[in-house]
Amino acid sequence: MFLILLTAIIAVHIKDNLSAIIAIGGTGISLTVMYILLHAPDIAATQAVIEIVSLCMLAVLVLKTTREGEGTSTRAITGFGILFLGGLVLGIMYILPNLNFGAPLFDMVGAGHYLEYGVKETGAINLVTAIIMDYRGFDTLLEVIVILIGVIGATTILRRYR
Amino acid sequence: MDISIHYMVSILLMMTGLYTVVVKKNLIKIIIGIAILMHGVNLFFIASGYTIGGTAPIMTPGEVVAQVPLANPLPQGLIVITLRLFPVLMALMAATAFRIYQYYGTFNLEKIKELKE
Repeated sequence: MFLILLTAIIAVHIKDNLSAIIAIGGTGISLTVMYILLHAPDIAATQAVIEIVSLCMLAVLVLKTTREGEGTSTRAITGFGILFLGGLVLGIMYILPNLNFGAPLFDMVGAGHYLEYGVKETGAINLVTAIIMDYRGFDTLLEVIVILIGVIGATTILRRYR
Repeated sequence: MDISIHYMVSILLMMTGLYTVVVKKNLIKIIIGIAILMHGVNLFFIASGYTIGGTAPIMTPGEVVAQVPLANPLPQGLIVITLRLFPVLMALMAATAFRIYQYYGTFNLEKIKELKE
């Protein structure tokens, strides 16, 4: 649990760029374990895959360019930033005890229908799959189009000119 | 597991990411900050769907209505959809950072600002 925070903070504060990317990989893997403990196996699988893919891209970026993190020193507004963020954290911590963990935040209002009739209507015993592939199928379809646009954009940026 | 340690950790992750994006000068650190921010938001949503004493929202075959309380499948479905966009975002940012490095020869934002004028 605290491994997530620890590796995130290490990733932010370490000097070497490659070490920072390895540390963010540690965050992703411990998040995968956390999702399994929170009863979300679909999310865990997806998280593992996307962590590996994006980590590979960042590692290639660092290896192609430079390893030394010059400019890891902070900006001039550091004091103000720390004060602002500290205030924000304190404010949210004040709200947090009202959110009851375990009693769902969204009160199962939208999900009640899925829980009750999901198997009857779609025939899929995995309810997450039932939601993303059946009830929200167009969402998934358009999301694939968004991914396509993103890939086209990345290849356009990386294409050799002339 | 009593109250909301998951919520606290997710909020702290979000704040770490925001701090990184606002304060750091290195482009790669800013990319990492955005990644941490997204992880925090995802963890918050998944933690909000957790039910005490429940199981994962997968039923045994032949079962129509669940016997035990299940975790809320709605935030999980939404988070799967946003999570698959994460590597696309990383690819776009990495490509842009690579071009910037080729053009300016540095990742340091202040040096880039000086070179521009």
